[in-house]
Amino acid sequence: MDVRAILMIAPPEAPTEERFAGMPLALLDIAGKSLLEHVAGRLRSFGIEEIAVVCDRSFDYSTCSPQQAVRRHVVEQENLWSTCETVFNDFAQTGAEMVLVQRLGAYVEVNYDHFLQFHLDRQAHVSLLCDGEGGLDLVAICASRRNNAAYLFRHQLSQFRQPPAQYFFNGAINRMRDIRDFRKLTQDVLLQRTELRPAGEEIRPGVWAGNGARIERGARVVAPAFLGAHSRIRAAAVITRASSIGHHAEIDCGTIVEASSVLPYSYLGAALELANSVAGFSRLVNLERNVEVEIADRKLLGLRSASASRRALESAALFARFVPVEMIRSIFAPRRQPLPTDEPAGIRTLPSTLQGVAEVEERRKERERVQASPSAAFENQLIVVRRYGGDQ
Amino acid sequence: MEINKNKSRPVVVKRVPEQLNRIQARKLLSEVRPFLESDRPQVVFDFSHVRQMDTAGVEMLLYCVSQAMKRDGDVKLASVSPQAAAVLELTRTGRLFEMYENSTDAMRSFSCFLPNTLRFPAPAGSNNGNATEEAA
Repeated sequence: MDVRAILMIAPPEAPTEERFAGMPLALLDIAGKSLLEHVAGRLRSFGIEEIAVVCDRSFDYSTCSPQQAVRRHVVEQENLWSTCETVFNDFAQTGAEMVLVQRLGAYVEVNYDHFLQFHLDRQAHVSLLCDGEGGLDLVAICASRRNNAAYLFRHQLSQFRQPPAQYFFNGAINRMRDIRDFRKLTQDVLLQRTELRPAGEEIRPGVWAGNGARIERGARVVAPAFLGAHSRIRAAAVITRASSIGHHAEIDCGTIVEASSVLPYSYLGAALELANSVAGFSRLVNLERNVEVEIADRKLLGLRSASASRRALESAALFARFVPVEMIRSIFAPRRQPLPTDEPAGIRTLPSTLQGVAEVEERRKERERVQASPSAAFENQLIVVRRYGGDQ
Repeated sequence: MEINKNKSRPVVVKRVPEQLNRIQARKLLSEVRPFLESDRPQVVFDFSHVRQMDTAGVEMLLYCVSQAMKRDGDVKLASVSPQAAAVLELTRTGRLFEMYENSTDAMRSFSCFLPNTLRFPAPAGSNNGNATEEAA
């Protein structure tokens, strides 16, 4: 049977519903892929190869995950539903027998085979997936029923020409109404509570990393965690408790990311603590406090360019600015005050209980140093020789 | 102390005493140190008996994990008692460790990811940590 699918990205009119920083939640990165890609992948796993995506032109796709092997129709907002109708008619004319229409929207872990079988068994024109709260914006339509489809699209999937056959679903659902649901789904993916899997290689049990992800020495990544492609975790940073770092994101030195999602192309400054939050597009949502903050300071939370050449230029400019400033500072900075020579006696002398221990320890260290390197005895007269990578 | 050698590298499981104070921490460290100094050490601390724990215990854990990380290894915690968990949360060190229900799971976790055995605090506002809702 020739079954095809139309995936729609059409968030409701309300500015905050199903969106974050103006972007539909379905396009945000969930462990390496957007919900759109995850759902398209699931459809393909059920043998539905021909998938059309209908979405609004205003959404900035450069920040979305780039691997999308689906036919895409980018349209103006007002033409969204009429485009769906056109795509449906195209499918019908080119031999499709059944069309699945899904608005993202909710993530529903439905078995598409069972849903289609239900539709065929009922000999229905239109079937709707429902749960206790109502419809889940997933509809199966016979391709020959163009009038039913047109009516449905003109009423934005909310009204039917004839009562649809209702398929009640009691599996896993995430309605993706707000950023909290987005974070829950990310956590579910990392804890393997859903069928979705992180898009990356499992470098350690429970730690997935995309291509080119870099973890600097001294950084700690505690499972479960996801590091997107070309992301960078700098020294002494900690990624823990089902945190997800989007592709090309950078976590600077000493920053802790706990139970949080950092969206693609974000830069998170040094020595920060991000807990129970979603950060990206220069915005931060704290889920514990239920508050959204816009952060203009790029030292705290910045947005890196999507263009690789531009990122390289920015890094070069930063370096070019840093070197002369440091040189000037070292020349003109006031000399450091010499340390006082007459330290209090309490600092110079150890407590009597520790003196014996300190002497023994000092002697042991000296002996080890001389044994390790004969030249250590002359270290004051020699230049410093540094060993690289010999700690392990 | 048990050593599991089923995999290519051994996993050392060390039971932590009931009171993890300075003396006990030092004693424990001296016992574990040889394993931490091996290549890619894999150490599990069984916290099931711990009733009291002070900063020395926390420092000992941090020292162990830093040593293990230097050698590309890891330290995991198993059967963490509520008392120990409270101290780890208070000192904000719990997040640095993977915690498992028991030492067997912790040992197995070095070779494969075991999401259902992971002790994972639910984020604020979620329903029992289950992110997806099950429809009635």
